[in-house]
Amino acid sequence: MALLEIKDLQTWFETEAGVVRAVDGVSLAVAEGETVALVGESGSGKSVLSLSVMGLVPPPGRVVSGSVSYAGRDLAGMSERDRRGLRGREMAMIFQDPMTSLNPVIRVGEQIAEPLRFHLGLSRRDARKRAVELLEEVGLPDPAERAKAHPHALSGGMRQRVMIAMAIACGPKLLIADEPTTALDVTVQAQILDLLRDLQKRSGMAMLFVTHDLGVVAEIADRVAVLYAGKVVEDASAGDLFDAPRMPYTRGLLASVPSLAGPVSRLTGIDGSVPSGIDRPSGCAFHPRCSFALDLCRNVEPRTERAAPGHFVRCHRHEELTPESSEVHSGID
Amino acid sequence: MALIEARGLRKDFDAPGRGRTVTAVDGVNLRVEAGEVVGLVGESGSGKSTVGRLLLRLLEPTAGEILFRGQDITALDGESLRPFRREMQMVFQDPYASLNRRMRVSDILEEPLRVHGVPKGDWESRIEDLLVMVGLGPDVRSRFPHEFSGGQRQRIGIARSLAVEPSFIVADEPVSSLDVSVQAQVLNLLADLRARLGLAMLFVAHDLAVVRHVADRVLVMYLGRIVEEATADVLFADPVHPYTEALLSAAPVPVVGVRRDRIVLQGDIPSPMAIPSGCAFRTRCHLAEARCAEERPELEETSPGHWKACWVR
Repeated sequence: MALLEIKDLQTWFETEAGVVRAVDGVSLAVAEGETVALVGESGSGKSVLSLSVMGLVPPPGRVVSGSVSYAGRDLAGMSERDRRGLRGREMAMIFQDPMTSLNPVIRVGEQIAEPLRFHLGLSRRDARKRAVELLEEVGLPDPAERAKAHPHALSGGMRQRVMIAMAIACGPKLLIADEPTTALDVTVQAQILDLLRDLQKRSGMAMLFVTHDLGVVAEIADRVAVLYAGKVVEDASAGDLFDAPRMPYTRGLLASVPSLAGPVSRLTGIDGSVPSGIDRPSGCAFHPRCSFALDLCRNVEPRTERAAPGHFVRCHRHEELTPESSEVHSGID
Repeated sequence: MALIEARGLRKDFDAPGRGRTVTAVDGVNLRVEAGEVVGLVGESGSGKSTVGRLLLRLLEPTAGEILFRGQDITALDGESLRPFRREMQMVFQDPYASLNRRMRVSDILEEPLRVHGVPKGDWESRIEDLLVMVGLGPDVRSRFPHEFSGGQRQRIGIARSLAVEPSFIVADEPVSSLDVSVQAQVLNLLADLRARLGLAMLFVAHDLAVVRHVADRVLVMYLGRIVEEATADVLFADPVHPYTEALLSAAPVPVVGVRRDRIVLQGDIPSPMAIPSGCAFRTRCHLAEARCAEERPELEETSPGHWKACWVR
């Protein structure tokens, strides 16, 4: 049984302009100890999906149908009280901007101590002591001193470490990380990725890692789900996804990334842009940007099919678009 | 003669607290030849955007001089600067913030033509040419910025900067707010325009792979100073400065299973309010020696065209 199982989830936002189907039928599983990267461009629905899992979708958004279960328990059927008991203790979340989860007027040590008291019933003193240990675990220099600091007194990288300390305080089995390194400089990003990998190795927690950066995905993920227009269009092991992508969208994404190694050639890119959540194209939502689109793709929505063991794809033409088919080679090598 | 050249460029900003200043740019020399693309890389706080703004005279340098086609333009202002403004334009990071949302595309493109005295009779055809050139087509001219996607807005921003036929462009993180599929389109557009118009460019960016893709030559900045300079081919294959090395090894690459021997730097970039003595990078450098704290290394040429500021390497 997967630790986290998402089945046919629909999260919609009812706005004056129309219904935005931000998450539009996503099924996804995360096994214990596994890191699944959720990759997508802006508007793909990746952040709304992670908020849906946490039960934190802001109004006017709501989960319309489908289910999310954690360790076999359906979250939708749970009382808000039970969910709160789960959040922070069993599953925790970190965000791109640490200031969204840190209180600017409370010392960081106190903030880390709070879930320890709430969830684990630690005394004030023990919680404080544990908070300092946690700050040390996440590699903050001078943790006892830093615990007394307010968030604004810390650098961006340090705040991210504080947020991670807060998230792992109760030893969650699942960490949802929504673009946790996007706002950081690359040298600090490298530190945070190392830290997350390290914590995971020690604690065995699973991670759902939301990002738009394929380089980060390659570094951290065991498995990758590619999201487009609210749907998972490809789901494979990281190795298969990068070496043998099947979905033309995934191939286009990989071919869009400039290489550090050179030689410099023209990037293939993808024409057009991500469709809005209100007016999604008919059939396969990617068809207006796809150079392989047929009438079938314009009219009929593809279902998720198995392209290879452990490799799933939503594409009518996946059987033709094998890794060997040269006419679709993406030119990233 | 270089198209544009900066010598000993320095910029101090007033900082909170009486009489305190922050030195954002400290003694930068750089040249951009006609038709050349120079990449300027660095992390936040390195001063790279400030250099771009200084070159365009959007900021007043505290010291140093700027030469355009050999002529000193550092002290020019108003009318005397105008002919040079026409030659030097800017493309901004956030195409939405830099476009007036109440103006139609045609008005946005008309403005530079009017300011620089292009005869009114030529506007129509010029606007049409620009919109075709950036791949939007002439039909969009009466639309407003909000009707476009991020990538299309950046195309409008590029069209605007090209309106008066500049020879030099400062592109400040022009693709960093775009999705990767769209980023590729805009990078291709910039490459096409460069080939077609012979544009020279200072391309300011934090993304090394993007810079690798567009630049002929690359300067690496750290806390206001250039620490390494070389052709892109040399810099990426054979970096000398430990900071360049660390930057390259920290950049994630989209290939599975090639986790390289990474140099993970300790800590964050120091605040520009408290720049370390000697070599500013020494506090994070794994090679630092006693000398690095005492004396500041100047740029020196290690091989033709390859410059570094480091005591150890």
